Amino acid sequence: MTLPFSWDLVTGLISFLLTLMILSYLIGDNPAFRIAIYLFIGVSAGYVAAIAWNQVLKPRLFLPLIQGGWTNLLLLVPLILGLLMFAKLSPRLARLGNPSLALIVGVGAAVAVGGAVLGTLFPQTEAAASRFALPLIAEGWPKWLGLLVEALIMLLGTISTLAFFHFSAKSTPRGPQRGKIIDILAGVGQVFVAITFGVLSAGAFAAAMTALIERMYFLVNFLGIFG
Amino acid sequence: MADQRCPMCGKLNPEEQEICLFCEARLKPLIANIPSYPEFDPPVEKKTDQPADQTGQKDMGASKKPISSWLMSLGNKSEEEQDAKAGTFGGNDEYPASDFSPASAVNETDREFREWLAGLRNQTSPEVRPETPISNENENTPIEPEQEIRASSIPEQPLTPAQKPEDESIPEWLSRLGGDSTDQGGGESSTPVSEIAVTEERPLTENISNENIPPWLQVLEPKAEIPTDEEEQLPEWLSQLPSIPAVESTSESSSGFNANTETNNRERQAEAENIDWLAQLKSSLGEKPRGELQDASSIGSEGTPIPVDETESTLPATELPDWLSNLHPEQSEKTSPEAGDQGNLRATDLPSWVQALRPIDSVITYSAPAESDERGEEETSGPLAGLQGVLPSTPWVGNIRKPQAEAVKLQVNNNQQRYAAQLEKMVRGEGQAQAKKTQELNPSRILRLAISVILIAVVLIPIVLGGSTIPELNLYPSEWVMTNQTINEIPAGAPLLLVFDYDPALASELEAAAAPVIQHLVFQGARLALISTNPTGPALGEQFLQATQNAFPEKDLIYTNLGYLAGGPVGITAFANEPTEAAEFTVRGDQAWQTPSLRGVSLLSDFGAVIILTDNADTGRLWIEQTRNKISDTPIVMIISAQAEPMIRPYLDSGQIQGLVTGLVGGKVYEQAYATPGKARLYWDSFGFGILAVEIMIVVGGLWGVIHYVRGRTKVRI
Repeated sequence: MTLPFSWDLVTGLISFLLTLMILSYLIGDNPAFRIAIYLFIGVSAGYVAAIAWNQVLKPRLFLPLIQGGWTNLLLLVPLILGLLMFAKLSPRLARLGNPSLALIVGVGAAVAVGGAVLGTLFPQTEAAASRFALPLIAEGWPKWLGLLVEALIMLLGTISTLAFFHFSAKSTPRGPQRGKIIDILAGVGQVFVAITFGVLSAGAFAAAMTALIERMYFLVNFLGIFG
Repeated sequence: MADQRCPMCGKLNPEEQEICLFCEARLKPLIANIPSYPEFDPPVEKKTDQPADQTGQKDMGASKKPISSWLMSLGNKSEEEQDAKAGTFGGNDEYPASDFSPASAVNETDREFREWLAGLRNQTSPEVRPETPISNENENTPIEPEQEIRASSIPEQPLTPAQKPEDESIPEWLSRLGGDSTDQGGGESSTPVSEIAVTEERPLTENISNENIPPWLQVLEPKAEIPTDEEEQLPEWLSQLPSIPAVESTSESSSGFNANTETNNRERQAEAENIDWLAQLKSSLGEKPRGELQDASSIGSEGTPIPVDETESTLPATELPDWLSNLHPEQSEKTSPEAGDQGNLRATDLPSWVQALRPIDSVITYSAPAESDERGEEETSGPLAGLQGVLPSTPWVGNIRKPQAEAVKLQVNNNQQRYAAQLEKMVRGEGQAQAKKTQELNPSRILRLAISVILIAVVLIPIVLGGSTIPELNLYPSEWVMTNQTINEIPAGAPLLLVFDYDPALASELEAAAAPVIQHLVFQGARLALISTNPTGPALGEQFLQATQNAFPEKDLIYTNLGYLAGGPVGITAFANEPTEAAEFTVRGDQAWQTPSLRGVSLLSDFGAVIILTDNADTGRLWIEQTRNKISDTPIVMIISAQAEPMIRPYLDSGQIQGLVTGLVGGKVYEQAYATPGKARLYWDSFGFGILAVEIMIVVGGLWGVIHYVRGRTKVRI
């Protein structure tokens, strides 16, 4: 049986081989697996470099700086700051890259902190408190009771999880120890934390299982071409 | 030819020999630094001693003790040595101070004493009779020891007439000194101490007269009798003698010749001490019979008399050296049997400096030491004669054997031996080439392989066999209603922002979950704009939309790929504030906000909805945090991976997002709800069997762990 040449066939064949090379890790570390890994890292690095040049540096820095007017001279500032970052490669000249790094870290930290406070902390706290805004019992006490229990469990989970990460302790003859109430809440919070980690693990496993299924499906379909 | 006696082995050697033929000891001493012993230094001021000497002279003169032969032998000296002697003791007229160093003092004193004796001899007798022993007035005095001294000590030195004493009051015994001294062998004395002692006294070159004769010498008279043991008493001249021990005789002479004031002081102190112990000795010997030995440690101490040979000539206490005062033939003979351990070499044969090296016991103490056998063998020759437990001084005598090689056994215990063997093994193994270890299957590796085989088999079987074994979902997730409602409320033809922030590794899951949603939106005529903070996002989005287009060719899919958004959270913030500035161009370089997909859109709130596709909880959180405040009523729908659901669901519960589709299950639900089978349905059976297999393995593994733990506890208790 002759197959028509197509680039899809070529890419499919490459994908098939690379998939087998990655799956060969089941028998242990081997050169095939290493080749596939190195190939993936190299291609990813090259693609990222191409994207960074084509979609960031060229259209947003160099072309405006070259083709633009005097108003675009301000672009020299990010250009100089970017070049100073290369000074970090030399131990002697590392100090020259400190201003650029400081700008990146400072702005990034400000954005992250502001977003965390305004986008997560306040809304989540408000949401946890609003759980106790129960409907009227007249609407049905089972529903009301259910919502109340749900709110209490959520409150208990929140407080106990925070107590679990409370590490301040008093010094005693037997060593540093937390208060008894904190200890009890930390124990309960430990249960909630464990449940959360279990859910996270299950989700990761589900995602990996989906990826495996997709690859197996690909292999079967590719082999089906020749069968 | 006069022979000289070896001080070590006691054998006679020719006069010209410097080294003994038998024991190879040095016969003629070398000049050496002799330590000074202040307590035994001779008195400096002869003037002060004169009264005592004069007193002693009176007493000594009355005793009329016979002159010892040893003293006779002290007179032989060459004229050169006598001439060279300018003075003897420092500090007085008779013995002016000199600058002789201790190293040269020995020879100097020796020379002086010889000169002095030679002078005496010349005064008494013009001829020197070398071979004639000095006749002793004291007939009882044995002559042989003194003859030996004479033979080995003073060389022949005939006195010149100028040296003869002018005064006829010179004792007779002194006048006889010259003849005997000439009988002695020529050459230097083998007993440097005796020479030193001789030189100590007086140079023979000086004119001997009453004025020049030292007081102690004037009173020296030969003993009339040799006292018996019962009659032995400390001679008067001896009682007045200063204690000048033999050990320090050389030092005395050296210090005596030294003009150092410190030495003179030491001499004065020694003189006072000597007078004390001599007086004590006199009193004790006067009470005790001759031969009674005293404790060696009491020498010099107050109240301890020292036995003295009564036959010795009376000499002034200030000048008589210790060896000279102790030299007594009778005493030496009598002490030898009493001591028992004094050795064959008598004290008279030893020079004073040698005797000084002895412990006090061997010099003074004559009593047989107790427990002598326990202290080892007694040395019988050499300067250490009489001592016990000493190393042999004549190693050449006797058998010289090679020391026995003794086996050295190291005391080690079992642990140390084990450690040593282990260390040796390790060191030996370093030099040996070791074969490469073959990889062996360990239990964990086998288990991992087994699990992999099971999972692959479980996944492959439904794919290969086909069909649908796993039933459809009967229960929808709680977020399905909200999500469906949100998507249905999006106006038709509204611009939608699609954020493709997931990695290629989980593209299968996200595509399976997003496909029905996007299809739903495409069927509504939505305009799509793609953007990503992941460099691979634009490519993935492009591929996804191409696949969707291919699935629905009748529908024209309108979309704009805004490409990669750099800066992470800062880029998201910038895009949220000014989207036209943050993403100005498309991936093809076109003006993005002029495309049909983004016509009329200038702010983020102009979008009909923001649909975020991500497999990372942090990325989704960033988009929510940065854009929530910028878009007031624009809904946010998140299509996420199953692993990010626990972290993103609170945002759904808090109302910050309005729709949530989670993984393959969410896509399956959407497909089932809209009866649009897709990838979710293809993967559903394998997914179901795989999840079931994993659940079974988890349960079995947990039970095995519990059983193993219980069994371990049981063994510990037993």
